[in-house]
Amino acid sequence: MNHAPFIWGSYAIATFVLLWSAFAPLISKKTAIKNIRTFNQAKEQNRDPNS
Amino acid sequence: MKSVSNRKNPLVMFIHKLGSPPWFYNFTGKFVPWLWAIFAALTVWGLYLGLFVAPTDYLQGESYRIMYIHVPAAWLSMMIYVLMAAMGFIALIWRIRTMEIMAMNSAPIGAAFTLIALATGSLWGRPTWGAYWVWDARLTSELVLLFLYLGVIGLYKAMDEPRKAARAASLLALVGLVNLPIIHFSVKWWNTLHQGSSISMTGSKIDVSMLWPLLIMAIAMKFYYAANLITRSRVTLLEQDLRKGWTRDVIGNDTREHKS
Repeated sequence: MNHAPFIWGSYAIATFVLLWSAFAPLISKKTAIKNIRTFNQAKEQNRDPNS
Repeated sequence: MKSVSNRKNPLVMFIHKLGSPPWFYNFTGKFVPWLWAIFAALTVWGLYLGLFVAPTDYLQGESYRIMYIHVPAAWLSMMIYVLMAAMGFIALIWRIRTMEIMAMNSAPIGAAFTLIALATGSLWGRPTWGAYWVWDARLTSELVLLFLYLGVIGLYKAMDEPRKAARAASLLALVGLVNLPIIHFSVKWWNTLHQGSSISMTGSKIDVSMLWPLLIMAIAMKFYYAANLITRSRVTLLEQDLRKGWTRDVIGNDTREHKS
């Protein structure tokens, strides 16, 4: 039996899962930073008496 | 007098500081790139030794090389669960929010490692046992571990108030600890198809040439867990403290770091 597909398949699955788990929080971070900026901009605009 | 000396104790002060979200965010941020770099370096080294230098096994042939991802993932799946339950316990007793966040962020990483252990074990089982899956005690208890992780994640996400959710999920994590001795001792308690432990506190049955890559990969995965946990916990702090002033300050710092 050729073992190569089982070995490379295992490493492919592991690489995919580990990369996904590593990059998922970075996507969430982008969204969080965007939300913080939006919130602070809205707060500044509400404070500005000329707006 | 005693309380004053406790307050000056560096360890107590450190734990006290860790409970502060801005301090936690800034302090841990210094380590994250180094943890990822050490993980990457160890993984490259471990995989090179494991896939290209270690000799072929006389019994299993080349398929044993799956061990270099399967075994570290299986070890981590259990180690992360213990740490998650311990952090959950600390969060329940001392109500430290950063501990709640770290406990809850351990769950998806632990689930990922359990999934890897199950999937790679299945792919190793086909050429070795002739089957992708058998309802063996070790495999079944590891599958239960995956369900426990999913249960913790689900319970945490199901509730609107994150602190209450973290406490409920921590309690579930503590109850689920009962599964860990079952996983560990399953190969001794039952007549399983899964092989017994090759590495113990007293020694190893694996040849040194095959053992070193395994140990390097196991250490690399621990760095992955630490780096991923800190990265996730910092993001969760930003998400939860959206309306607090410190998040605006650190976003400003992050932006300046990116520009420089």
